[in-house]
This record gives sequence, structure tokens and C-alpha cells, in this order.
Amino acid sequence: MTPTLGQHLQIRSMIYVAGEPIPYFWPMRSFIHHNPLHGLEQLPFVKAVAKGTQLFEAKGFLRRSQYQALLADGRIRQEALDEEVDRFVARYPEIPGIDLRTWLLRILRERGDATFPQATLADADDVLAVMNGGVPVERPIEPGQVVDGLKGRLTSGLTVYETVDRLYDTGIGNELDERLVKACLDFFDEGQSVWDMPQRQEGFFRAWVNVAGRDVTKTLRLLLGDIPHAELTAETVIDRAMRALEVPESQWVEYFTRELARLHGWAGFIRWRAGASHYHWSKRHPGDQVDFVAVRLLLSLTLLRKRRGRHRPGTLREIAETISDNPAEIYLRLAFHGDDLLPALAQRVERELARGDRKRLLGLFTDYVDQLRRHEAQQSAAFLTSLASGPELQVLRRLSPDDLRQLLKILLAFEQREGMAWLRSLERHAIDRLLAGINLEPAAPREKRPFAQAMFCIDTRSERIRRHLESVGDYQTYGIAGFFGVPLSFMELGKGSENHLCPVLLTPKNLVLEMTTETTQTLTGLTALEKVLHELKESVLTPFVTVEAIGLLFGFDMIGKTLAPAVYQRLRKRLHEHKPRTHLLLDKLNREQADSILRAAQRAIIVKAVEQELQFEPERITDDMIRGLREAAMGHEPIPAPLAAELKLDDAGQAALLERLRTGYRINPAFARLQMERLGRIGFSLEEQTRFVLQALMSIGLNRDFSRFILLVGHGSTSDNNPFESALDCGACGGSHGLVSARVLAQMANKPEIRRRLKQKGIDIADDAWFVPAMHNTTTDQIDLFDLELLPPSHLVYLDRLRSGLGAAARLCAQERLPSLQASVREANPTTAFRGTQRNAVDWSQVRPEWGLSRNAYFVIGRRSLTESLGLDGRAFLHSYDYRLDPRQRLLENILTGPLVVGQWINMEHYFSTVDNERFGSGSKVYHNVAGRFGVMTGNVSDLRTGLPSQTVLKDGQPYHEPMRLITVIEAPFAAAQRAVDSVVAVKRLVRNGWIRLLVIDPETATICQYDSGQWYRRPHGAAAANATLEELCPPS
Amino acid sequence: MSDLTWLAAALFLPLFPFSMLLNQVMPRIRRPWQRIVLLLAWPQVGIALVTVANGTVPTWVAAWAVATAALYGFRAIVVRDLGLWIQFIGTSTWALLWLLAVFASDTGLLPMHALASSLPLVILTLVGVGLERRFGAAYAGVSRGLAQASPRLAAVFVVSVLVAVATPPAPGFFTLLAAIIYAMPAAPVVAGVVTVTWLFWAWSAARLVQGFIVGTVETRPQSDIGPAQAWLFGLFVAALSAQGLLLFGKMP
Repeated sequence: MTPTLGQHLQIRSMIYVAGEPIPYFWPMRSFIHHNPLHGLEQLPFVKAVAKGTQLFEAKGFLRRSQYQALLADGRIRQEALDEEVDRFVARYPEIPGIDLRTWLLRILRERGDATFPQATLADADDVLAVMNGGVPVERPIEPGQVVDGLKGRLTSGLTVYETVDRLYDTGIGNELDERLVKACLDFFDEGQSVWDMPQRQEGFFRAWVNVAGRDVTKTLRLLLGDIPHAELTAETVIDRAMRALEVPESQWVEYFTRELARLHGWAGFIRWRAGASHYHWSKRHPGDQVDFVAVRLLLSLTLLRKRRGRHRPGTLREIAETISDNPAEIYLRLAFHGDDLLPALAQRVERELARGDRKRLLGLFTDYVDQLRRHEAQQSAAFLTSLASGPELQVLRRLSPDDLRQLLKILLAFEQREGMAWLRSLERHAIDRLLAGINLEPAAPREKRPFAQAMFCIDTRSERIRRHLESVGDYQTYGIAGFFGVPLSFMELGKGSENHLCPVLLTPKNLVLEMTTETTQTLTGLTALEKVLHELKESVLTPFVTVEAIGLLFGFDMIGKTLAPAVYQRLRKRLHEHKPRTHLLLDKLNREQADSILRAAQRAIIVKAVEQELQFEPERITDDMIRGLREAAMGHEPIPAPLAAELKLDDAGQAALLERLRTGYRINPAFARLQMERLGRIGFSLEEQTRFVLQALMSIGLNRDFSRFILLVGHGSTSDNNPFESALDCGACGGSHGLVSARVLAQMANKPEIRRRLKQKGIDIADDAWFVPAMHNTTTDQIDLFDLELLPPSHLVYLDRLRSGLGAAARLCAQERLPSLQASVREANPTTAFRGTQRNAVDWSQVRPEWGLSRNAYFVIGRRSLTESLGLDGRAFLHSYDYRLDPRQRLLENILTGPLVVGQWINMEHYFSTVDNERFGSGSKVYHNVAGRFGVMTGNVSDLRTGLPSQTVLKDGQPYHEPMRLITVIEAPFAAAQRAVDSVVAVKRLVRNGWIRLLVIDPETATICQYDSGQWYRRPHGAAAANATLEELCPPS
Repeated sequence: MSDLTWLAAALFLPLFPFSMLLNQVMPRIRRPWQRIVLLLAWPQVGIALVTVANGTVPTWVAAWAVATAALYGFRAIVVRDLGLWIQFIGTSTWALLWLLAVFASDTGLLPMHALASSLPLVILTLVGVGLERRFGAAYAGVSRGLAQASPRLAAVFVVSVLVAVATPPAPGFFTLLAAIIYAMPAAPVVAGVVTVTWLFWAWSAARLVQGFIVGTVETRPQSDIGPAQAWLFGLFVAALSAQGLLLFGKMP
């Protein structure tokens, strides 16, 4: 029977709920940093990490040896670690004679990565017996005693095929993943493949079923033989499959989550794609997580059917029955195919399982559990005795069983909390370092305005360049989100699609077009050649006919860009056509203007249509002709008789021509209305422009003393052969560079009408103040100025000084950065370092053109005076904010809602990519292959790799990024800051659940308060910060 | 000479089903030095019996021998226990010595061939002792991650396995080559089966190495063999290879 509509909807909603823990994955062309545990942010950090690591089979913290290295390096202080251990020990009663604190510290400092052995059978009595030189007391374990434990391990939390794999090593899971990945590669391809999967417009599930193998077709027939093919839906298949697997409905959501988590990269991409209504490929080839689960379940049923052997269960009920009937065999199978097989009995277990003799298996089971219990007791005893020293050993041996039981419980509990202890200690050091250098004194009033002011993105890479720029001259810098507070959709010159230049949390309403006054040039020879070569590479026949002919060309290219990348790229650039000078259309069109543009576009189309359909030369096509055809196509009037005669068309010919114009060339009222709507999106009204400029200036606290130059510095990166290039661009601009946003705001702010309106609102921008868009290349640190043709003539004499300052800052910044990128460079002068960074930008073999946002640790919201004298090593997001201009904390709320949340995503992405680069990160770039033009895989078939590659967060196999939660500092009166945080629900949740560490600096009272475990504590700053403990509550009563 | 001598020879240069005796006896011998003695002495006894028999070995024995060798080579593919693998490869190798007894004009070097096939298995037995001491068993999948945990021991292990499966210039390679060359004119099918058996050896060696060498490092620290021991082993393999080249390098 076909499921009802209600059942369909229920299944859909179950799958959507099941998909919540799976993070979105955006296409890599606009890489978005995201928290891989974003779906679990409603939980406290500790619980979310525990749940997430179980779901994704990953680690949530570094290995102990890695933390020990940080301790040895001075990046974790021993005192902080001592405090954490003290806090833990205080929760448990004392064990007579055992110095728990010393033992736990010994584990942390001296134990390497060895963990406390997990005992499943041995208890305290057994351990005690072994410690005293004896053997555990005989205590036979009946197979029936292990049934509940086996059922708990095998019938919940795992899929049916995972259980079968664990018991019979059938490899179903791996084969299923491989086939599903191939199906996803075929269906979701965005132009990488030359041969398309057929019928993709029917949706993922149906398109895949049409080309699936015979084994799948057979399963479908068995499963759904009674349902007509036309009624075959993904929901129907899911319903039938889950019933065939005999999974109780109460477990379906958990089951679906497990299925989705297995290939969480693909699942995350499909989840995002299904919800991205503007995404072109999603509209053309629809597919969502319901299709994904349907394909997975159908494949799993197929493979279970094919691997079905004698006595081998294929459903959840059969698994439970098999466990009840043959617990001994199941126990041994689980041990044999798992990670904890007793080595001494490995061969015997293999032999008896192959034999399948029940009696012999029973005998082996008895021997096995007995030996396992002894082995576990020995391991636990060895661990404990290695911790004890001297007289402690005697005390340990004389402990009562209850005390020993308690001790074992504490050690296990500590191991689970150890990660947090290390993490908090690491964060403590970072906080202390920040508070030791932070400046609470307000900046002294300036005598004159600075030579230039520069607004940089809050990106951590801006911290360095800002610091150096301030050091080379009279510059004042500010930090603001990279999109400058102007969410816009951008249509680049020559491209037909829009790009959202704003954080992914926002949906822009306004469209900005890029246009040029220069004539479009024909392709240069080199560009044409490149296009031909690119198309040849995609052809199947190319290897057979063109390798000898044009292989040498590729050889020249390879040698050039390998041996002398910088020189070679400069030469190539000269041969390429340059992008013409462009203008941005960002003023709202009125109705007449929009209508005029529409008519002009229709005119051009009608001219082309008449040329092609009637073979008229362009010179013969008159304005009257065009007007008449347009009005007729739009249905306003028929084609005038003289025109028909001129076109030599009879009635039938006229009807055909009009039909062609309406359908083929879309000259019709409906399309005209659509285009008018789109034209209506173009630009910003004057009110909007004023609002954006006002908000941008007020949010950073710049409302007077404007310099001659106010630079709006967007940022982007340059690299070659790097699928992760977008990850190095501006996250606030949707993964693109920030130059367009800078140009837009500059154009707005330079308009006299806008300045007049700003003056009415209390912001008087000097007449000679000019906003100049600029671009900071974070790979080379070069800052280029744009739209200089618009610069007033009076400013030209100062341009040289400005460029000089920017150049000096760039070179100093490169000098600071380069040693961390190239170990062989210990000290380089600024010019050499700058050349080195430029080479990194064009070197196709460079897997690490820059460190990006690695080592990010802080998010500071406040005035520049707080951090001006503190070198933060490019580790801080710095958002300028002046609380005095924000009496109602609206601006602060905006900063918390947008930039802080994005900063937290970036921080968490780096955190998890560092602690487990294989599961949460992308692994090594060396093994990456681009998939479908939207992601990368490791090898030729794997899950989509989410997260950051190892080259971004690790150095020589060890963490380069220090994984810790974002330390957020707000400079504002305490009550005001608290109000702002509480009013932004998302941020309140992040703070309360411990996803970010929050400090508030109250400039009125010069106090610093830190939020920790539900309380606010007072923190000293300056030299006293280093040894302070969290004792005094805040604010002080 | 009596049939009993030939029967005994079939036990010690094992031909199936008489090979079952060796494969029943070996697992019951626990001490490493006893196993080593067995590995060295067993085929020598078989060769001595063939020599004492002093008769022409019928050609059909060659077919029986390669069938036995192929059977045990194939069986070794799925073996994970190192001790069992040594047994099966030993059985397979020694069965092939019959081909030299059948087809070679001069059987004077047979004892050296047998010794050359036994010595790599002796080294592997010692490696197995090292693995058992470190991991509790020499069992692929249990004793994994050796390349990271104990790189020198891993190197010794890999080279020993390669030498045991007659990778050139190991002396076993020349034994195999001689068997193929001698058998080819008279019984090309037999020569073909020998190459297939060689393929089985290589396949099983790859799987075995994969099960021990690859994988994540155990959290318990593992000690490695010393550099001196590793060098000594290297010299031994070099000497073995030189012996093979010198003694067996001359082909008829």
C-alpha cells in the first residue's frame, strides 16, 4: 500500500529533524567557515563535544602529548593546570592514603598519550588481587549475562549494516559509501564532467533510480512490487525500507541521523543546497536529504540482501534474536572484528568462528572472558602501580575494595574531563596575556586630524597591517566587518549570475551592477588559446591525438611556473586582456529609468531577431519597425499594415514572427514585468545609502575629525592551484574579496547629497575628506588603491606619501609574517620578505600561501586605544566600537549579531579542524581532488572534505593553531554590555553554554569582569593578571 | 629402495595430504628455538631421504608437488597469524623442491636450496617473538601500526617477508627460477603453476605486511630493536643474497 500524504510528510519532517546536527557545507567557490557542531549549540560546549565526537566518530580535544608540548612551550601555565585539577578533586571525597591531586598531575604531565584502561569485566576485587601478586577469583561468566550488553551495543546507535559489518566484516558500509559518493558526484556535478547524468531535472532519487544497477532494481521490485513506477517516491522507499529492516518507528530519527552523519560532508552540502532557493544548480537539478536517505537505504538493503549468508541476520529483529540465541558467538565475533581482541587468543577465535561449532564456541567463550578479565585486571593494576611511588604502593595494595572502586571511578571520570582541563588552562594563559597588555587609559585628544584614516576588516590578518601602518606615520585605523555593513548582491561585468557579498546569515535585497564605458574587446590570442586548451582537456579523445602535438606547450607552462613563478606570472599577465575600468551602478532607478532600460534591452533583442529571422541587414531596420514589432509583441496593438508590407509578411508570417518574439526572444508582458522587478532591485535609495554610511561610521566610533583620506580597505587573497582560495578571502563578503563593498560604501559616502543628509544627523564630514576604496591582499600584504580617477585634484599631491606609507607597512608586515611560513627564513629584510610573500601568491606548488586565520584567539569590541600598544601577532578580530555613541546599545547588538557570530564560526572551524583534522578538517591538500566544482575529496572517492586542510592548522604534524574558544572582550559599561548580550538570543546562548569566553571591560570604573560557569568574576589587568584566580564576583557590591 | 622411504620423503618434503603432519606438529611447538630447529631440519630430512632413495623420481610427482605448493600458497593469502603463515609458506616452498629432484640433472645443491628457503622463515620466527613480546601476539590487525611504533622492527619484518616469498635477489628466487626453467621443457603446465604459486605468495605477503605495518600507533609505547640488531640483520640478508647469487646464479 502506498504511504499516505500524512506519512510522506511525517517522513520528511523526521529527516529534516534528523539532519539538524549535520552542519551545512557551502560550495568552495565561496568558502564559508562554519562550526561543525553548529547543530548542537543549544547544548553546553562540553556536552556538545561529547555528542558530536560520538556522532562523527572524532576527537574533541588534542592528544595529551600535544597539550604537554604546549605546557613545555609555556603556552599553558602549570598553575592554571593545578587549579583545574584542584577544582576536579574538590568534587570527590578523599580516599585515605591516596594523594589524588598528585596522581592526576602526574598523569597530565608524565603519561604521554596512555589512557586508563577501560575494563568491561574486571572489577576492583580483581585488580586488588593482581596488585597483591595473586590472580582474580574464579567467577565464571555465563553467555546469558552478556546479552543485554551486546544488545545495547549492537541494536541502538548503529545502522543494521554497520552491525552486520562489525560481526561479519562484510564491508557493506564502505561499499555503500563508495556507490553513494559516485551517485552524488554524477548528479550534483556543476560542469566538471563532460558527460552528464541523464534526467537530472527529475530530482536526485528518480534520476539515480533510472541508472542504478540491476541489483538495486531487483531490490526495488522486491520492496515495492505492488506500487506503480509512476508513484515511486523517495518517501515511499524510505517507509518500506525501514519496515523491511524492522527498525521501530521510535528509532527512525536516530537512524536517519546516523545515516546522514556517515557522509556528513555530502549530507551537509545537500542540506544547504536544498535550502538555497537562489542557487542556480538547485533549481535546475533538485535534490534534498530525503532523496539522499532514500538512496542510502535502498543501497543498504541491496547490499544486505547480496551478503546474506547462512545464519546471518539482515534486520534489526534478527540481530536481536541472534544475540539472544548465540551470545557466545556474537561476543567473540564482536571482539574479533573490533579493536579490542585479546591477542593471545586471536588465532583460536578466528579458527573457531570459521568452524562454527557451537559447543567449541561456548568453551572458547568461557576461556576468553576469563583471560580477558585477568588481562584487564593486570592492565589496570599496572597503570595504578605505575602512578604510585614508594610508600604509596603499599597504601594502594591495602586499599579496601570500595576505596579502590571509588579510585577507579575517579580516574575514569578525570579522563573524560581532562580535555576541558587542558583547554581551560590554555585559554587562561591567553586571557592573562591579553589582560596583561591591555590599556585602560583613554586615548589622549589629538591636536590635529591624522594624515589618513583607514577602515579595515575585523579579520585577524588586519591586526598586523594596522599595527605597522600606525607605526610608519600618522595613521588612524579602525576595524569593521568586511562588507562595511552594506549587504548587497553583485553582478560582475560580463557575468550573468549574482554573488551575495555579505555574511551568509543575511539575504541582500539590493543589486549592484558593474558596467564599463569601454567597448568590449575581442579575446586576445592567449585567452583564446587558453579556452581552446581547456576545452580540449575535457575531451575524451584528446589524449590519443593531441599529446604529441601540444604537450610541449604545457611543458613550457609547467617549467615556467615551477622554476620562476613570479617572473613567469608577470609575463603571462602582460599577455592577458585587462579588465576595463568599471563603474558601479548603485543608485536606485526610478520607474521611467527602469522602463527606458527595459525598452533599450528589448530594442537590441528585436534588432537581432529581425536580422536572424528575416535576414534583414541592420541598416534597413528602422526605429518605426522596432517600435511597431515591440508594441505588437507586447500585445498593445497588431503589426501595422505598412510595416507588414515592409517586412513582406502575410498574416501567417506575422503570427509566426510574433510567436517567436514572445516565446523565443521573451518579448512579452510577463517577462517584462519580471525584468522590471529585477531592475527595481538595482541600487539603493538615498535614504538607504545615508543609513548605511551613518551606521558604518557610528559603529566604529568615527563621527568627527575626518582625515583628508579615509581608506575603506577590503581584503582578499591570491594563490595558485588552490581549491581553498576562497577560504582565505573575506568571510563577511560571502567568501569573496571585499573590494566591491569598499567601492560601494566609498561611492555612497563621497556623494554630496549623502553628506548633506549626514550633516543633518550630526555627522559633519569635511569637504576635503575623501573616501578611497582599497584592497589588502592578505597573501602579499600589498594594499592597492582604487577609483583614483575620482579623486579630487587637490589630493593628488598627497598620494605619493599615502602610497609610500602603505608600501612600508606592507613590507614590515611581510617581514613579520614570513618566518612563520618559511622555516629557512629566520630574518629577512622587509623588501626580501615582501618578495617572498609575492612568490607565495603565484607559486602553484605552494600548499600554504599564507596562514589565513590560523591562531585566531580573540575578538575585541572597543576603541583602538585598548589594543594599540599590544602586539597581538595577528590573532585578534578587532572591531572598533565607541560605547559613548551608542546609548541604547543598538550598534553593539548589531556587532554581536553579525560579526561576533561569524568570528565564532571561524574560531570553531579552526578549533575542530586542529583537534581532529582527519574527521573535522579536510586532511592533507596533497591528496585532494576537486569534486563537481564545489568541493574536494580525498582521493577519487570519499566524503566531501569539510573543514580546513592540515596545511592551514598544523605545522610538521603538530598544531600550529592553538585550539581554544574565542575570547571575546567588550569595552562598555558592565550593565550595558550585559543587556546587549542578553538581548541577542544567539550570542546569549553561546555565552551561557560556554562556546565563547566573554570578558567585559567597563571603562567608567576601569574594572574587568569575566563570565565563567554561570558567574561573573572580577579580573585584574596589567602585571597582576598573570597569577590571579577567579574568586571575587563582579560587579563588586 | 622401499616405498616407505618415498613415503617418509613425502612427509618431510611435504606433499598433501602428508603435509598435514607438519602443519599439525608446528602449532604445538611453543618454544621459538624448537620451531627454528624444525624449520631448518625438516626439509633437510626430506632431501636426505630422497638422496638415500637413490632412484629416479617419477615425473607425476612434479604435478603433485606443484598442486601442494599452490594449495598452501593460496591458503596463506587469508592467514593473519604470522606463525601459521610461516608454516604454509614453508610447506609450499619445500614442496617445490621436488621439482628440482625430478628435473634437475645435478641434485647436489638441493640441501643448499632447502637451507636458503628455511633461513628467511627462521628470521621471521624471531620477528614473531619480538611481536608477541610487544603486542601479545604476532597477528595481523592486532599488532598493527608497526611502521610508526617500531620502525626498525618493521623494516626487518618487511624485508624478511619479501625474502621468504622469493623476491629477487633472495636465494629463494633462484630456487623458484631453477624449478621453472627445469620444468619448462618437460612439463610447461607445471612451470606455469609454479608462477601462479609465486603470485599467491606475493599476494599473501602484501596482505600480511599491510596487516602489520599500516595503521595508527598504539597508545602504549613500543620499544624498537636496536640499530646494531637491525644492521646485523641487514648484513645477514646481504650474505644470504650473495650466497644465492654465487651458488645458484649459474643457470643450466
